[in-house]
Amino acid sequence: MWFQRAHALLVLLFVLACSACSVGAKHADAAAPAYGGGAYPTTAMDDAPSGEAEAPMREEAGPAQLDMDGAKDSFVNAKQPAPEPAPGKGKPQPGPGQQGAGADSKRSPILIYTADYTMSVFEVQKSLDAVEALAKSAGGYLARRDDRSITVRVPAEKFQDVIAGVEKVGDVLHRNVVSEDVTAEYRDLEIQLANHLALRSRMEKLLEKANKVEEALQIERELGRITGEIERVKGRLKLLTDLAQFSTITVSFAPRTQESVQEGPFVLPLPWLNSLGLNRLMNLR
Amino acid sequence: MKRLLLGLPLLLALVACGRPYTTATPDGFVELDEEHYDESVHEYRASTADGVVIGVRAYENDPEVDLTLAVRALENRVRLGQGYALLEKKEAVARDGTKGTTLRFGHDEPAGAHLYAVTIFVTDDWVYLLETGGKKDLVEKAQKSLDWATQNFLPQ
Repeated sequence: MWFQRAHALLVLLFVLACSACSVGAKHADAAAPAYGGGAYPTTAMDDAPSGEAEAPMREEAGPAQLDMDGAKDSFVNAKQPAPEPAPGKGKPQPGPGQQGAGADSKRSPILIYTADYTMSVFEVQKSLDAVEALAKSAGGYLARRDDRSITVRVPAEKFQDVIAGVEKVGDVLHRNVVSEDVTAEYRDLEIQLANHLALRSRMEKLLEKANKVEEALQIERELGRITGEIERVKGRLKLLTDLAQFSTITVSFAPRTQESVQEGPFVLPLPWLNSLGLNRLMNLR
Repeated sequence: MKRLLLGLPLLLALVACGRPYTTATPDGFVELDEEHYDESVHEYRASTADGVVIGVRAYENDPEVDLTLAVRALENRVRLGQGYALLEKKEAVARDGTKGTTLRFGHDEPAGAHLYAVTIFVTDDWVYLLETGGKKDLVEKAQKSLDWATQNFLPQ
């Protein structure tokens, strides 16, 4: 009898030790969401069946071995062309869940596209309507709109088409287009999730076998912590999936009067430059 | 001193002849009295009853600039400095064949969308600014008259 209890205690200690080391582990459960098989899972957050959770671990490529072609790019300049997609890709990469099947998709980067535009203040309401219409016609939606700015979300594969349209809406004073590669983070989260799910499954089985209340409470505490971690990872995966599937475009209408005049080298001391504009022209009093 | 000597005949000519340019006031516009313009820059103003305004100013070309630089400086000032949207940039020709450039801008004012255009002519002695502006719909209606005024502008 004492031998059985000691054995149970040893197993519990072993499981707790494993739990402490599980975060960031580079092992994936065989039952983990299978991006290696082709598609990025849209249902990766679903719990794995407990029977499969105890399947043997296998080695997975670390982030350093991932295809980083689409690593963070930033374009900040007026009249600069729209960002080129990652080499060898014709369009921005679709988000997780939109990847095509096949060996190549295993290494396709997961990219989050965002674009910020500042335009001259002219016919703002009309321009805001035009941006919103562009997004909706591309299958996107309005995220936020006020008197002087608008934020829309558009499917990643339509991102370049939409920003090309946005640039025709008005006089672009400033643009900032960024593609952020979150492949490494996404895959790491998937691995964490798989490990947590497997661990939870083992803990649940241990809980069934627990004989003492103290043991049961200890296991339940650990189960609660692991469940919290699982929810956190699921939430982050869901957010990344959403951001990768729908690119974010923000257009603001604002003059750059002060910053440009002060920092730009173009303020020449020519007397005739000092009184241009509608205010003076139309002031006839 | 050299500049002063060079500028003296110019000044005398100016005193003798008034503005260093000749304008043509289109039908539907009234030329305003001197209280509505700045004599120091030889200003001319005309307006419709609805507030579409034409203004001309002439500045001595000192420091001397050429048309390319002047257009660039003007674009920077109005577009980037004042936040106007550049809608169009095109060549303009005065009545005597002097070539200039017209920049058309748009800007939202509290009263609604406005259009503002500046045509700039540069000669050795003068920089001429021919400005037009007003509410967008009114300017668009008066566009032919405004173009006529530009085409019939005569620098000295």
